[in-house]
Amino acid sequence: MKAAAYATVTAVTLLAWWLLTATGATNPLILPPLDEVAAAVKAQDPATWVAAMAVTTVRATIGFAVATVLAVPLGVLIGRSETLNRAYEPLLATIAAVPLVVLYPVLAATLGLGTASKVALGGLYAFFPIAIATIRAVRQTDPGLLTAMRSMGASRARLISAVVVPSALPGIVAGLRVGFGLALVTVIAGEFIAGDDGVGYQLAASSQGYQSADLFAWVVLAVALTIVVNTVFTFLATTLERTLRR
Amino acid sequence: MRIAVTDLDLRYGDLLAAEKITFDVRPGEFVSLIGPSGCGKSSVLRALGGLQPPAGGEITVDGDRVRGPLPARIAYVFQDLALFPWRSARRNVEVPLELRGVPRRQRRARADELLAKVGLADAADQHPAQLSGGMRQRVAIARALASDAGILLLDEPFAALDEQTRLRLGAELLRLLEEEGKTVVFVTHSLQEAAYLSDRIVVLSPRPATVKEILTVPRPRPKIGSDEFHRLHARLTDLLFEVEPA
Ligand SMILES: Nc1ncnc2c1ncn2[C@@H]1O[C@H](COP(=O)(O)OP(=O)(O)O)[C@@H](O)[C@H]1O
Ligand SMILES: [Mg+2]
Repeated sequence: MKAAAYATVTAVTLLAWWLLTATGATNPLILPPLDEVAAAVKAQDPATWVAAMAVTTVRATIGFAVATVLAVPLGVLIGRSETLNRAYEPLLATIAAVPLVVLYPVLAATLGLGTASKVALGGLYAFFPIAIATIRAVRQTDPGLLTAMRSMGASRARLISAVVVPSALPGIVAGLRVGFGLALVTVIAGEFIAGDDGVGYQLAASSQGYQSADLFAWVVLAVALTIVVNTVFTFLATTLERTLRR
Repeated sequence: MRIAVTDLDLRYGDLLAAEKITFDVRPGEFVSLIGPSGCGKSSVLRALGGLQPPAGGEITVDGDRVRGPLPARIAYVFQDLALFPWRSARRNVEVPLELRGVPRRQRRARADELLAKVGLADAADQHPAQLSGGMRQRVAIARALASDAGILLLDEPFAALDEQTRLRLGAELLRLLEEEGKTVVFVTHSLQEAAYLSDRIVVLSPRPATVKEILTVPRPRPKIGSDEFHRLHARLTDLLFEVEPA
């Protein structure tokens, strides 16, 4: 079903692309013909794009992992406390709406143009949706389940691990998905703004030289990366839910 | 297992939910608490289970003052059942065993044994959402039995069921609990249920709950439809609908 949906979207996109370029309806500098892009993808040295994708994925993953490790426990803590929730949930929601990418020059100035500043930007973007989703999911916990677990002699820690976390997990995973997507996008954005490696840098480099086919080759590769990463993410999330919700 | 309730007061802020409640429950006895909706029955039961601190008076179990949940001695069946939706029937029944640190294999064996006892041997792998109301009810009872507590507190366990299922489950429950030698406190607003399940019936007034009268049901228990049963039913009706002298 899902595979069919992906296949349909891909086929329609490619068909539209082919029609637009083959009929001459669009400027080939803006939207290059499909076969040129295919040739450009093939012409890329696999070592180059594997390296670029690896750099970008590793940066996004580290940023996301750090954000998760901080945001999930914090979200549980805030979600479990009426007082903390009243104080911090609106604050977090407000910060999350600020376009933090404007901070990138500051991050780059303090952490340098290499991996550290990109990881920090990705982590910063992943943090807020994860924390907010965790808080909201934790607050949805059925108080009756907590009471029941307490009546059976559960400690406070056990209430969290056996009731709050499994109950909130689908909501937390939804937040993790958004967070990871944002980490990936913002790492690419950081690489695009400054730096000398990664998918974002390659996009920037090929867009500056009006190498339209090359640029689109990188777009195609970036989309492929997103699909692969998403599939891996879904697999890991399903495994996590199987482990914690049984 | 003997429960003694002495001059129990319960409050929610300014709201007095129960006042000077006094009754006791002898070992092996089935005592019903009956009273109009909202009078404070659940509150009294929660206090017996150590889930709600008294505003006055005291509750003892075998002479020990109740200050919090006593999972080794008191098990609960909640009004909304409080089954964990992400756990199968078997894994729900395993919860009290998990909390006692029973190893996995034994837990599983004991849970299956209890599910068989309540007639759910075939439903062990189903999740609550896949079960009918009556089946969920049985899972909740099996889970309460898994705790091996001598005292069972049941809060309107059949309220959500149709009349036939309610009567059948009630009779089954009674047989099961007598077999296991449990001491039972049973909250209901159904006169019929109280009359055919109980050894004694504590009749509560509208809020704040006070003890109006404690009726002893003759042994052997009167059969539904017998004159004896009608007399008991009529007596309960009088007590519950009695207009307080102005
Ligand atoms: N957690 C609570 N906070 C405030 N008021 C409550 C709470 N629980 C119950 N009450 C109030 O206490 C009274 C008795 O409630 P309850 O014990 O649930 O009655 P019953 O079980 O007899 O229907 C009701 O008026 C109810 O609104
Ligand atoms: Mg109630």
